[in-house]
Amino acid sequence: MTERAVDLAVSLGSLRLVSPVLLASGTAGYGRELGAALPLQALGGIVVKGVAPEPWPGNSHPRVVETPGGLINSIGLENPGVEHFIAHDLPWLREAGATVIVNVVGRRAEDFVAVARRLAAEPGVAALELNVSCPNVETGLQFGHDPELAAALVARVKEANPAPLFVKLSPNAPDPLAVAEAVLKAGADGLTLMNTYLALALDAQRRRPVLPGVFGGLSGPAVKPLTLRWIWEAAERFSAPIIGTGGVAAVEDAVEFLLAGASAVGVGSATFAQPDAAWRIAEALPEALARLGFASAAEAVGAAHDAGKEVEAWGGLSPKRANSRRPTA
Amino acid sequence: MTPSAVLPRRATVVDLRRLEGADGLYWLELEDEEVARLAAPGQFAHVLCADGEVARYPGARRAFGFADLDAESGRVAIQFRAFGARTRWLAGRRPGERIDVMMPLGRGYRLPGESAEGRGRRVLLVADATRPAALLPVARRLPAGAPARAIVAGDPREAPVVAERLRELGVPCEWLGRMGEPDRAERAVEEAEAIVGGDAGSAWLVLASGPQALLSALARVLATSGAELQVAVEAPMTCGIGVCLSCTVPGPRGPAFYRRACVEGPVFDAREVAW
Repeated sequence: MTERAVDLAVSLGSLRLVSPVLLASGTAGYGRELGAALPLQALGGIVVKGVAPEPWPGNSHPRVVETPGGLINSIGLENPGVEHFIAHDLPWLREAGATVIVNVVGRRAEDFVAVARRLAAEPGVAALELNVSCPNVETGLQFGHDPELAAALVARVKEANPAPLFVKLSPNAPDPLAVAEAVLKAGADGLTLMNTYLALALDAQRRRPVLPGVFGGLSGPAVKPLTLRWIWEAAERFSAPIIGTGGVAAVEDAVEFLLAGASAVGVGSATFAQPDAAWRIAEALPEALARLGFASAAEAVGAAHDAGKEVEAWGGLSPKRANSRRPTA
Repeated sequence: MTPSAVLPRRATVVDLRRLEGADGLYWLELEDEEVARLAAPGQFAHVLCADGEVARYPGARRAFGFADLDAESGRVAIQFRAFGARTRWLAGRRPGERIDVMMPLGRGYRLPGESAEGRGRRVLLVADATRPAALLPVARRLPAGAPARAIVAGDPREAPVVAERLRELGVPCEWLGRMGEPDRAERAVEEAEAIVGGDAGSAWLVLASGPQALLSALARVLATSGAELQVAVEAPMTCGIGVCLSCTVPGPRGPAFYRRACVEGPVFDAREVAW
């Protein structure tokens, strides 16, 4: 069978994954609930929910509202803290054979550094994902909006923990790619694109926002084309590996993320509708890649950028003329 | 240990009817012999209320407490109001269709006989007519001869199937208030207080389901009665399995100790909830 021949293994710098398909942070908890019914080791890994130095209570309710093609959430990074994670969840994840990427959150630089340092002593953490981009907390976000602050933070975290470091960026930053450039220069090993998109849901009947914090972060199929654009742009500008996440709900989405330049793909809120969404996508990926003529997932990464040249062949015209004749719908 | 099923299953719709006397309420029965037998009263079904591409949208499921669990017929039931795109989709199903459901999920009521504390207590069921999780599923599982009675805030026309089956099961039931009446929860709570308070409170196990206003009022008036109160809370759920944290409920130890209604609940001891 041809699909069996497709090699799913990918390398993101020194981070080797058996599959490009990950469980994205904030949508799979710390692995136990899904891992009880589905094999975590069959996926590339799990990016666990954000871990702070101390327990965080999260935001008031309601925290989630459904919108067309998506979901606006304002959970507020509720989490039990790093000590609880290390004592309670990490041993279980190791036992389950999961590749664990820990999403690190904080209000001040010291918080991020403390979590990173504490995790450096623990086996079984394959990489860190620095969350400087959650739209639902008042502090911590500034790191994701300001290239200089972000770079300084990355340098300190990297010093505290040598594990591969991915920075999860915010599409709500004035210039996300400037932040990307700064963190990569400061020593980050890769990028996670993107966190959720700041959004609003109104309750017309009660003439007020649905969420108590007014805004929340939009995820789901509605944001997929937006995320795809950021992956594309980042891949054009940087050679660092990219974890693409935001709106992946089907294997076709995962394939497009790879083609746009992501080396790994996080399945996020799709898990809420189908708990086995990531597994279904991972299972369908070999055949989907084989159908497009790829022998491996790695080969597909960024492949759409090369194919851009084919536009020149459009009707034998120059790219500019060809573009002008393309349907504009 | 009652199974909590993370993976979706397919269940056949065997009955779906609009409850004529009520405003947009529906009664849905699914055939699933295993769930009907093994699910605990108070657990819930997380129903995928969409098909096609929309079935992959993150908010496509809705959670409903079981309105009946009938091991004999192998059927489980939910009662719901059709008011948005999702519930309207569900209301449009036909008998014979198969739908995608995660069930049973969460933690249900601890019935008398399941705990030392509960053994020998008299059982009072309190529910809102539109949220009847505490009624039929519990009534069917009570030990034979266990003394039980029910108070429902609402009109039997809102829950005609529940009313009829409670009668068949021989559970005395008082219906208080009419449809849409704003203070019907208060009347049910007053009645519950009178029943429990008029007796040695510690003799009672009170199992409740309904909107938060009903449950919190009940928790308040029964707090010092000695009665054990278990409530099935209503919290908007997205994932249903404990990974999204949208349904967390504040516990008595403060806001940093939220618990998930979908996993640690939806049934909580009333003393475990910071009302």
